[in-house]
Amino acid sequence: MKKRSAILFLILVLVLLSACGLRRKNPIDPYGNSDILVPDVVINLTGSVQSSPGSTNKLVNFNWTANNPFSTDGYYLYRSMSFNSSYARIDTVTVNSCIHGSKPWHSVTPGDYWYKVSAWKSYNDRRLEGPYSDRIFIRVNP
Amino acid sequence: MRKSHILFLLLLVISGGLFAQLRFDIEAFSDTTKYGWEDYAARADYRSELYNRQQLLHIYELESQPLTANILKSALVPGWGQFSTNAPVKAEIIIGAEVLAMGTAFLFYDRSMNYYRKYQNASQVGEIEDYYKKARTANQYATLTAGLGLIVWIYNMYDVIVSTEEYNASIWQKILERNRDSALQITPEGLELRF
Repeated sequence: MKKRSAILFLILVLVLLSACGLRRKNPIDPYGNSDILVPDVVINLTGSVQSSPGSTNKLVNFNWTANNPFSTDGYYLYRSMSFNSSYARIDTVTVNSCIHGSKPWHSVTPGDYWYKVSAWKSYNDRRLEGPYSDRIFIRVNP
Repeated sequence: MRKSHILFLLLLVISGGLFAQLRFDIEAFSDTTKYGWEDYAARADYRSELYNRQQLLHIYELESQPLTANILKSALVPGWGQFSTNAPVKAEIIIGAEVLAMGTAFLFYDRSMNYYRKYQNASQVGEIEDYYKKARTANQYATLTAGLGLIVWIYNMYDVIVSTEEYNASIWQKILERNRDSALQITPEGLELRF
């Protein structure tokens, strides 16, 4: 009986020890810092191909509803070749619109793409990025 | 006055002698039969038996396992003490369980730290929460498995004490059995010489 109680006590101690988890040390972790504001999710994302068929310089124009400036300093634009594969960050803007293909490092070739946007807010030397918007499909014709 | 003093001293000496005789019974002291010795030969036999037992004890001290050394061995490497007490299966089970538990704990801890580093570097709110949860879960598993390792270690420490005592008891029995095979034997009744 004593042996069983000792084993139960040890298991209880272990469970309690394991419950004492890791500390939230990330300075922009909103769950660990009450003064950190999470940027709102970007809504009403729309996109359209601007360039005419046959043109070499393809442009895709994006617009979305601007977030409250209190919680947002800028936006990231992401692109992927398919819905579920990894997304690459292709642009960073501070307004609620973006033209993909307008900058020298942009490369927009004909094809099917998925885009998404997220808002960010600066905290010292780091940026806290909010949730991703809904993904939209864009087909760039030759 | 002087006569009464002398008489008092005389009485004191006599009563002191009587009291001393009551305290120290010389007859009981000199009675050899109280040890079970009927005569001088019995006393010599007893001495011989005692000498033989001392010899056996000396052999026992050489062949037995020191408890402190075994405890230290098992504290350093679980199962080592059990190996010394000629219990290899038990030792292998203990060291296997310990290595398994502590190895798993280390793997989970390493995974936990990997996720924790990612958590610290993450800047997207979803990733921050995701990496933190993964790090915490792996850390809980690491703590639990390390705890299991601790339980195995504690059991190993308890077991090495029991194993050493059992081993030493068996060594004593073996020494007695070996001695039984020889011409001169020690029995509860005394020494026995076989021809």
